[in-house]
Amino acid sequence: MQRNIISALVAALVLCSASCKKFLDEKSMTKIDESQVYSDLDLVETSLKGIYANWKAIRTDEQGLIMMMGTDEIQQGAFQMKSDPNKGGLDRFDANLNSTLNHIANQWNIRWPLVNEAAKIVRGLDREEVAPGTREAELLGEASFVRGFIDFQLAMYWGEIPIRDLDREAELGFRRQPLKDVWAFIIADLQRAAENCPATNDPGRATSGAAWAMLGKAYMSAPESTGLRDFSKAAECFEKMMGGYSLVPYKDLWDYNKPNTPEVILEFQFSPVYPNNNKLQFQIGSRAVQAYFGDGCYYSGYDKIVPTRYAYSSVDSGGVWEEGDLRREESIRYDFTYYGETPTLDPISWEDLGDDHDELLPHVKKYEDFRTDKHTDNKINNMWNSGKNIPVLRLGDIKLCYAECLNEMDRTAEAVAVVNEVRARAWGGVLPADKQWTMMSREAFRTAIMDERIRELFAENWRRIDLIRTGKYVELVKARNKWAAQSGTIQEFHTRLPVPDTEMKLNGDITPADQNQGYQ
Amino acid sequence: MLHVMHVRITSGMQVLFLVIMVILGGIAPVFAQGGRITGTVTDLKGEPLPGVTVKLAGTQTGTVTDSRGAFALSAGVETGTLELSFLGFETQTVPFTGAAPLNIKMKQATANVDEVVVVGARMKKTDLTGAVASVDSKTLLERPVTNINQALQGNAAGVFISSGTRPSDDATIRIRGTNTINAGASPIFVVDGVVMENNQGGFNAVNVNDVASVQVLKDASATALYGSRGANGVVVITTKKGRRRGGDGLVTYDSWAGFSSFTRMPKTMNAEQLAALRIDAYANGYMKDHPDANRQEYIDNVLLGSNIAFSDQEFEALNNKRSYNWLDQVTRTGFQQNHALSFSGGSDRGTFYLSLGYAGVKGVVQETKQDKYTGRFNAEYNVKKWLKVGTNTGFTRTNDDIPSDDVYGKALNANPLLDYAPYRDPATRYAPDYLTIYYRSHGEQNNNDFNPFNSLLIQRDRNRNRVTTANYIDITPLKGLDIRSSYSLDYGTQEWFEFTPHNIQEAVRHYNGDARAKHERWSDTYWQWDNTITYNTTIAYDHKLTALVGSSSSKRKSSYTKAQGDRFASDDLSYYDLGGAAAIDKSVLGSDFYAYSLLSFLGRVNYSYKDKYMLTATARYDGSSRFAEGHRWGLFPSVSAAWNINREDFLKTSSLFSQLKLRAGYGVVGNQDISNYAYQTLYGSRVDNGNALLANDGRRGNPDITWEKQQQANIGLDMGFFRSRLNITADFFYINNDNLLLNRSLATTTGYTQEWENIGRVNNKGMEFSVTGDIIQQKNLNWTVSGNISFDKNTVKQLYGDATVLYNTYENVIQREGNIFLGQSLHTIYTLQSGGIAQESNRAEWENLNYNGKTVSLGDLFARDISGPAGKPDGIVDQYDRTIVAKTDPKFYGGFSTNLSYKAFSLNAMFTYSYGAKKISSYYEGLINSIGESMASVDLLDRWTPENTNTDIPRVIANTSYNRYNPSDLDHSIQDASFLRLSALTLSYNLPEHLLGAWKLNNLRLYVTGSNLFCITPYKGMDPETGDYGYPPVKMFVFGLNVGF
Repeated sequence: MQRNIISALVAALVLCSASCKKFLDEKSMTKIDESQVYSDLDLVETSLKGIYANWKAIRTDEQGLIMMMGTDEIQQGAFQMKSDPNKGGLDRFDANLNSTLNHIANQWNIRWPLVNEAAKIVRGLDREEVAPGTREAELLGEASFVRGFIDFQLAMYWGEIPIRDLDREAELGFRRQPLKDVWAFIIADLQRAAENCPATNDPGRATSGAAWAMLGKAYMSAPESTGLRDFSKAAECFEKMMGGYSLVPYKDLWDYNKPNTPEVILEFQFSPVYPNNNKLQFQIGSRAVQAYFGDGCYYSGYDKIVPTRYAYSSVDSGGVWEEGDLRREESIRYDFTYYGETPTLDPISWEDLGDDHDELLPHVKKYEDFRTDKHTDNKINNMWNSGKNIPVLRLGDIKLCYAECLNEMDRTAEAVAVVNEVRARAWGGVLPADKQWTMMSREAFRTAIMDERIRELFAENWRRIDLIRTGKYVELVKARNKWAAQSGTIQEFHTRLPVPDTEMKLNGDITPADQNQGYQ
Repeated sequence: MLHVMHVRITSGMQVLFLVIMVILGGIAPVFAQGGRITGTVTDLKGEPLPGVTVKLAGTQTGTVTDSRGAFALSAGVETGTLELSFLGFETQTVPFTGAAPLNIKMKQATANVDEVVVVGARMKKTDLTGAVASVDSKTLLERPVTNINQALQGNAAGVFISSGTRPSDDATIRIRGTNTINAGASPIFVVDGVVMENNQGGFNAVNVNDVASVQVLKDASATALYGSRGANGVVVITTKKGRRRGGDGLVTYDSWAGFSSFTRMPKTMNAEQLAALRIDAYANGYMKDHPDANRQEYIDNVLLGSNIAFSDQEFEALNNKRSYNWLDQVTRTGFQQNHALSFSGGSDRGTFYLSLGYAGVKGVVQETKQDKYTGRFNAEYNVKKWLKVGTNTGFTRTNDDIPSDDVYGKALNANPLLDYAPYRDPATRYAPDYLTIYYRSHGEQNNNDFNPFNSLLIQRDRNRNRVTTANYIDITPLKGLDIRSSYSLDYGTQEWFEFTPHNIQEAVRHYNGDARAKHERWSDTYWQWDNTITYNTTIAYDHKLTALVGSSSSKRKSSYTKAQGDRFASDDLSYYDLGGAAAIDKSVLGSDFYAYSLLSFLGRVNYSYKDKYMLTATARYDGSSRFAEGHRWGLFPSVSAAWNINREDFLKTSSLFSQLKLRAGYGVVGNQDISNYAYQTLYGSRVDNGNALLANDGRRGNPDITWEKQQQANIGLDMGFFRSRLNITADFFYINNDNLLLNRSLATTTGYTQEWENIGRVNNKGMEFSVTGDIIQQKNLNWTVSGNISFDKNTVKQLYGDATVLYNTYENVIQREGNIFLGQSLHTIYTLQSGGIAQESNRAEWENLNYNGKTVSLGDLFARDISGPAGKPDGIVDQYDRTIVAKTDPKFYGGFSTNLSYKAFSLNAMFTYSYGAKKISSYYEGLINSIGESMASVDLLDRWTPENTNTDIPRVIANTSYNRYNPSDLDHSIQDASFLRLSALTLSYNLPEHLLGAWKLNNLRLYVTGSNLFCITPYKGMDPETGDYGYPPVKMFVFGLNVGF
């Protein structure tokens, strides 16, 4: 009997040893392993859609506004400037604008994981045997688009950036690469995207049209020092895609009942239900309105950004707006009267607002979402839920870009005609004769188009890039941004942002010596 | 008859301070006749005790009592001491002079701690060769505590406990400091052989009254058998068993009840002082913007004449000279009670122990309540001569009512200038003006300052159930061969129900004015199957050998479900009807599942020669599912030896040493306590506009990670002097922890934010001493003093590659704590150094520096320019000037106690202390950063003003854009967390034994205890030990009763 017991135990041990390997195999049950994702094209596409979903975060909440700050069309609200001197550095260009500024690090840190995820898909699919038109090719195109688009922004804002070509990771490391290489890489991505993306796609996803548009922007924007700037190539790109889109009545672009209009090339998809809301109105509405009518008024908010005087004033008051331009009322809220009641500053006068107060001065209007208002039946009653779609690329922008190229190619007359197409829409389809642009010098066009872009694209996140690529950043910000003008400390080096301190501390390939000039 | 409560010291040998029992009527005139000693042994009731071992102290001479309890012994000496031991009774020593027959009464033990069950194998404690600290049930019950960790506090060298601050919190425990970086640093708890983790209140759920003993295994050789999880020490808990003897069993009842209240709150400003502070700040801000203005005029006309600085409500309090203490309004005197009833007994064939317990807490913060019900059944039975089966089974049910954290949090920081009456009045409390509290005026920043009275309406109920059962079968087929198989199950569930009514600010702010109900359920199943074969033999009388081989497998499976809905027909439905949630698109569902498993093979050999030399060698081979295949297995050997020097001939005759034992051990232990699936790069669900997507979760999987390995060396010495009246234990350890498992922040250019890696080495060395002395040992008067002290010091010896620092980033910011610097302690505070206050006298030090956006003027704090990109001061104060300003490890810590008894009374005081640790007090930083728009420290009364320049408290400035250095931006307010605490003072009365016999009682003790009566510390936050989170420390007065019959 005793022997039996011992044998049984020995047998049990042996049995157990055999099943050891299996016994210790534990894999996540609530998440999928990377190897599994990349072994199945369906899952690759699902994760690509995940990248798009995360990409939208760049245009969400306060972080969706940072790159609009510190320009000549938008600045931070007065109360924000008073209460947060660190963030105030983004408009004051004082010493608070440095590599430890959290908001800048955040802009950097929300972009790189997207670049890398897209890079994984590109690495997996970028093979010679991938035939154009196949699903693999389309996914490759989309991933290339995402990486190209975000790298484009990173390179505009920071200059030299690491190149995330995963096949060359050993060679490239995580160093900042020469601008020429960076822009060549961006252009190659967008070229591949243009060739492979599908012509039509689900709303919010890249198409060949979007890729040609971005490739055109890349050719316009590549720093001249790289030798890659090429307006004729840019114009060619735009010509390849513009025919697929048409201008719509300007107000339709901001109507939540008309998402993804024929004008839209790429539009981020939101809804007024958490977590699909963009929370922008919460940040940019008027604080005086909030104090007066509460969160249930769809244009109340917290003044995180407001238009500069230049961007909200009419031409005769030293601003950009001309008589009859329909875009003005769609872009900027001047009147805060709410169901017959006009708010005052009284509820916030205790804040000792001072001379700079701007709570009831014009505010950004494009992101207002009436569905969140207490007068609807939606029971949302809080503008924090604002969730209209956000256009990223649209024909109005591309037409103006195309006009710019024509002007640079010394085809100013054609350029003027294209601008007039855009302006005609702004005046309801028929452009009054006195509002028609007429032949002008190339330089005059350059100046005029920058104002036209404010009118057409106000608060659509392109302004910083426009100012940087045209070399006008410091000059125009200093003149038109109230806080930059007050402080008077903006310098040429402020055109770029500092590489975040945290990146330098965690990335052995970027040392303090590699920091952008002026921030070292 | 006097009973000295004994105190245990930390030693592998475990010397008891023996109870001296003077036998009433048993002392007769001395005879000296041939040195023959006779006597009888009975229990307290006079029943004879057969089988008691009677031994002449310090010799091998001994005998056993016969069936009538009688014994006779040839002593050869005329005076000496007898040692009597009998399982289930307290061991006692009886001095004798002469040969008169002795009548010895033995007392039933309430605890039996001679044995330790280590992975299924029993060991005598005296055979242990490693570093072990023990605490027995008597010590545990000396203080009214509700969990094991609290009970251990200050009682064991090398064990550092931080108790939870809320009744619903769990205490944390660290053994020998922290060796690891961010793999888990908590020891494991082994309850009757079942490895328990602290999830869902795990080991805190064990009823302290059921515990027979707690052993803290500290070094590698002691923890070797738990190798896979022993890196941070092992706490072995043995629950009480019945006694294996005929006759009556034992019934005990232990009870205490008492009151508690907050103690040691930092001093804050009253309404008037706070108003003055705010006026000063505003006037300073105004003068900054208008240097030529008239300050006093501005104060009189603008600040006191408008609502810029003060609301009308605040003016009213100011004019009425009222100051409102909100915290008092949401707190009360707490009440705690504990009752435990146990029954135990046994026969030749088996034993049993059954207990029931209840512990109730009515917390200091209103609506805080805890009810804990426990039960235990331990039994063992010899089915056959060669077959024994047994079970140790316990259950715990804990119900908590946990108020919203905002009740305490918001009341603590509420404005003393605000009258709370309308906030509490049912007629006004839901009006928009009273949904939030504020300073100065309602504004954006007040949106989250919920009315704490309304927060009391949030219902949060937690129920935890836990059943732990260890069942074994023990076969002895041959003499000396023991085959044991034990299967244990630890099953726990937790439920969380929460309801937020629709009309309070929490709902208005976060849930669009809808009520919210939330259900969460956790379920945890853990099983463990241990099989061991042990062979015991004695060769040639002197060589004792024990060999063990075994295997252990275990698996934990956990699941979690969450369901949450908004908008209900009535707040009266509370959280009961989730189906009534109308806001379907806001509903939230969630779940989680995880599992992990461990598999081990182990072998151990114990050898001892003449009980003088002892050797233990252990090897384990462990596999963990937390690592990828190919990296799963680790081999963990250990060896230790002990030498009982006092048993050597040259010391045998010495009366100096009653014990002298030298221990030495070396071993390797593993740590795998990291998050599950860290070796995988994972893609989780990403829900977007109704689409089911996948997205990377930010963690880079690392398939190469494997066991963290600690090489531990320990040398210990146990010394007993003067017949054990003085006992000293000393241990010295040296630990090198390699392949540290670190959750590292990654630069986002990699595409990820974090990754687990095996990185570098941390060295930890230290020493521990404990001393117990019976200073006075007389018939009626006894005084025992004991104490322990621990020193440990850790140093980061190596990181990856040639890296010298690993930064801890959170939300794009490098944190003050959690960074790891080569050559430094693991626990540092990294920030800017304060240069003090900018004064005229030190103008040269601060005036010409560039503060990177900060402004420094007279009266402000300024930071020092210590370094720059080139490694030397560069005139700019920025990130290059952050340095290690302090470390949070104590230089030494421990506890000491004194126990004075006179006749039936005894007075016991228990102190804990810690010295040299620095700590960030977030609460105090909030108080000292105040500009009068939040609760402020009274330290700000001494703030810098042009008239009061001789101070280290900066001036205040507000209502302007002024980027000053707040005290918390610098090392200015880092606190010294040294402390000396009287953690318990107990006065007790033991019913004398002659009365016990008359009343047929085994023991009766009445006591009163004051807990946490004082704490001497320079720390300015809530508590130097527990920090500022949760509730402040409480002081408690308790009346208790222990009775057995």
